Amino acid sequence: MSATLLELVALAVHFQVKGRELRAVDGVDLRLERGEMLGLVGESGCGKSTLGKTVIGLVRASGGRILFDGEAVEGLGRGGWRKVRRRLQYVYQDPGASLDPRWSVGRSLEEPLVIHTDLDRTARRARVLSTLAEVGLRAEHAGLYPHELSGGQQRRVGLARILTLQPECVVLDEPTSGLDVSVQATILKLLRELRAAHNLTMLFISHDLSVVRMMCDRVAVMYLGRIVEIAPVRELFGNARHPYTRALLDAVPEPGERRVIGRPLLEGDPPDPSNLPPGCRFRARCPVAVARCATEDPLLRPVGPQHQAACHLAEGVSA
Amino acid sequence: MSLLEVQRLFVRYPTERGPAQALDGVSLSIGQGEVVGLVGESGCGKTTLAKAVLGILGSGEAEGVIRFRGQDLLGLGADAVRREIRGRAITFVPQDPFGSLHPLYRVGDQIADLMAWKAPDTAPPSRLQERLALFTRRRRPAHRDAAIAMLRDVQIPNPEQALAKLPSELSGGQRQRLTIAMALLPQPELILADEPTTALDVTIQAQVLRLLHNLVREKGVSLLFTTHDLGVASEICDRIVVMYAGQEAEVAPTRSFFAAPRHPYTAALLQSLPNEQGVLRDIPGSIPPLVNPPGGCRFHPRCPNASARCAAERPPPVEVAPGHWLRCWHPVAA
Amino acid sequence: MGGTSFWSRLARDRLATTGFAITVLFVVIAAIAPWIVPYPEAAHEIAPMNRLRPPSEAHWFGTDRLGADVFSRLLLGTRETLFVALFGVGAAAVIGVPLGLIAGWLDGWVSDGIMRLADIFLAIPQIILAIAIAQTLGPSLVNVVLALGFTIWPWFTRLVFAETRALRREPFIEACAALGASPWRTLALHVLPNLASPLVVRVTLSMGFAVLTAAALGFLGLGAPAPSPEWGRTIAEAREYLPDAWWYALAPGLAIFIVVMGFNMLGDGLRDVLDPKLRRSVAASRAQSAKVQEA
Ligand SMILES: Nc1ncnc2c1ncn2[C@@H]1O[C@H](COP(=O)(O)OP(=O)(O)OP(=O)(O)O)[C@@H](O)[C@H]1O
Ligand SMILES: Nc1ncnc2c1ncn2[C@@H]1O[C@H](COP(=O)(O)OP(=O)(O)OP(=O)(O)O)[C@@H](O)[C@H]1O
Ligand code: SF4
Ligand code: SF4
Ligand SMILES: [Mg+2]
Ligand SMILES: [Mg+2]
Repeated sequence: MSATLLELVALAVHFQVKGRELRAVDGVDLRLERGEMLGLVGESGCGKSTLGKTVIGLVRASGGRILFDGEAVEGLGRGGWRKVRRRLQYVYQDPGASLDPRWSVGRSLEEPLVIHTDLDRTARRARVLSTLAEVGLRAEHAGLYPHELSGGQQRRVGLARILTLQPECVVLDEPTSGLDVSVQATILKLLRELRAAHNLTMLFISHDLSVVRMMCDRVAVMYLGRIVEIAPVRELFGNARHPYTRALLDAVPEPGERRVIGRPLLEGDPPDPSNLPPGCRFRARCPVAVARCATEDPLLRPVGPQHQAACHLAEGVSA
Repeated sequence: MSLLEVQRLFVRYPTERGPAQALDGVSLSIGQGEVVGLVGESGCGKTTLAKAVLGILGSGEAEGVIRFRGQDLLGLGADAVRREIRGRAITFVPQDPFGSLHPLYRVGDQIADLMAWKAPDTAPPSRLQERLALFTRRRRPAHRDAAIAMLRDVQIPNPEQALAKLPSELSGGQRQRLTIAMALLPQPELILADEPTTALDVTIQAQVLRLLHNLVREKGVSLLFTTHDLGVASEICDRIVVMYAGQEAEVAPTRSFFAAPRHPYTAALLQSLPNEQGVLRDIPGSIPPLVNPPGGCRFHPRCPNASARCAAERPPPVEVAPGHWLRCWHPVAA
Repeated sequence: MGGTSFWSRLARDRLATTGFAITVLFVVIAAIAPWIVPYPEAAHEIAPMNRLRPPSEAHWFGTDRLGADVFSRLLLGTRETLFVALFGVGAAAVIGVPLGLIAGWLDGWVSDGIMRLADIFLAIPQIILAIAIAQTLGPSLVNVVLALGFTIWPWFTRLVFAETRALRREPFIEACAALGASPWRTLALHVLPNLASPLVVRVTLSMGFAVLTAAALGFLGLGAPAPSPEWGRTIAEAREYLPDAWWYALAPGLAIFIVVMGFNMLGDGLRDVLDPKLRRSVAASRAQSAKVQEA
């Protein structure tokens, strides 16, 4: 058993949009170690969800490789994929919408067991009830329909649904977006407990840096389909090297402080992802860009122990 | 004197299970040039309060006092508020910039129509003019210049070009900046901004916050800023009002709000924020139902300090320090 | 979606209630017609001395060219009409729904092929198409059913195609794939049940069309042969005796009109009750309950 559970090699996902090619994921290399929680942050539309969905086979990769537990998943037939699916699960950004509105919670939770196991009805029911208890719901919640649940409860059901299969690796897509802080705290607590109880490996997609900082071991920052910086949490928050990461960190408001509006800001909007400029894709907004940035696309390279950044000036912009 | 004064405002929405008490005797005031943050969990009535001030509650029934420049808006009548105040002296920035922009009209036309009716130098339209609105054109070239200047103010690149675009051709941040520009154009005295940055990325949010901050400072406008993000509130607010279940729980200057919260709910809310220590504390229990809410202090089923008195009697507002008001029988120590 | 709220909403819609009442009455009459008609022998016996009597106490709608009671034949005709409408629409659904599901689920040439075929069928005026098919197959009730099936199916395909396409993008359908469910399982357990409301509406509206078309085919002699009390063919028979024996043609004409109206009113009512309101109430209650929070 190797230490790396999931590995992405030069992964690319291109969509055809109005005749133009949109590179939602544009050459991503990433390793997830067993038991690790890796945060994936970046602005809306930078390709986080697409990356997550490609990993679990919901979106077809246009290039590159995905290795799960040392095995390439592209070559797998349907049967092989099913085995991987069982061990690799995805929790939707909006769990309310990812449940069939006509199915009761109990039936939705039982479904993965019907698909993947030969457990009989009683055994399935028992598993569903124990999973419900694990995510802090009661047995009577099994009889409710998705629209009868609150936002926080819907997230719990979303988590319960993947836990019934006892996976090893979970992709969590914005597990707390749109929740109030108190409910968010409840869900994050639950995630920590589940992670410890099942030794889960997690890819934690979020745009909330303060949440990622609290939950993850390492953080990858994505910008327009690329990973631009990746480092352990402490290192990334304390010693960010990429100008975009630094701008992102500077823009997070801190309760009790007035830290954002007084600072020099990142100007402009991200460029159209289907019409990227040559050179560094951050150049149009980068406060420190030099001539070289217009011609040469910076590659992700080591800038410190366990720390990689994709910027020509990564050494120079250290804090 | 305060520009806007809300006193003991109640709003009820009829529902299948009975009337829902969305606002439950909330009081609030905003001074000239002041930025007041209205924070609280989803469903506590933030949007309802803004809508009540604008007189656009729909099925909701309002009761209480809403005084603007000393004039009681509820007494004035919905029609008069609509023609003379809403969109002129008080403007609104909605949470969803898509919802308030017509998808099929060019930005320039939408601004021109707004200016035709609501520009500061135009008289409120008469009823007849409103009826004939389809046939009359009150657009003026001067308005176009004002619009371009305003788009430049909100940092929309290439304003002349932007006027010719459809809302869908702008980015999310640009759309939100456009709605802010449209809220500023009538030169209002008060802007009600309902979660204007919730749909935006942090870097764009930072741009919008700074923009609002500067505009408010330059033009002396008052701002009621609704949000559930305490970090955002702390960026631009002078004062913060925490609402819980339709009533203000604590009102304090921003600094003391974060440094020395006194209400148990505020304290719990601040503790549930992500923090550097990585300790997670949530608030047990759930927000109360609006139909048949718990008696006494609305927070008592979840409150660590609750006593028998809390379940029986509603705490009145008490000023614990200058400008720091509180509704609680047993506040946390300062 | 409690059953009670569905029925109460239907009850509040006056048109839908009327349509519902007509439809129920029609089905009940069809079921018990042989036992309630005043002259059960009217279907096959002839009484030449009673020919073409105007409406009277004994014969409410008069008698026909063979002396049979028009009212009795009218009631007996409900059975054929119902049979044709039910099985005709059923055949259309059996052809159209699976094709729509496949076309909606897949991309590429299979999907395009199915939809172009549907377009071709829809491009031909429906009644002409039905006549052509019935003509080819020869006059019989079963052939009318087949003609209806081949005429109506593209409506089902189009509807199911559009709804499946929309549903396919819904996260809860995508999530089935994420869990490893096969496409067939997803289509049968998730997509089809979520199409139930629009399908019910479409079936009801198609029934009205089927009744009308069947009558037209009967009128042209393409339906069941001679002694059949089928309404369309009765009108055709009555044609020769107009305008003197006006009751002879009027009775089946009115019956067709009422039944078709009934189905259409019910279908429109169901569309209002089932479709948009269902969606709105689910969405609204979802938003509402999101705020009700942890129990
Ligand atoms: N099926 C698709 N077809 C075409 N374009 C797509 C498709 N799915 C995603 N995209 C585009 O790919 C880009 C990345 O989308 P993605 O949903 O991965 O972003 P994200 O980082 O998850 O954003 P968010 O934070 O808003 O969820 C976007 O520009 C999006 O419009
Ligand atoms: N038209 C309506 N009919 C019935 N109830 C309503 C209506 N509008 C709002 N409510 C209820 O009133 C309460 C307050 O709603 P409001 O929209 O003011 O909350 P909010 O604080 O703005 O929440 P959010 O942060 O989710 O926007 C909610 O519980 C809501 O369900
Ligand atoms: S490579 Fe150049 S443009 Fe890109 S982030 Fe670094 S300095 Fe900025
Ligand atoms: S009044 Fe009582 S229940 Fe309410 S917040 Fe204060 S201590 Fe808690
Ligand atoms: Mg996403
Ligand atoms: Mg709101």
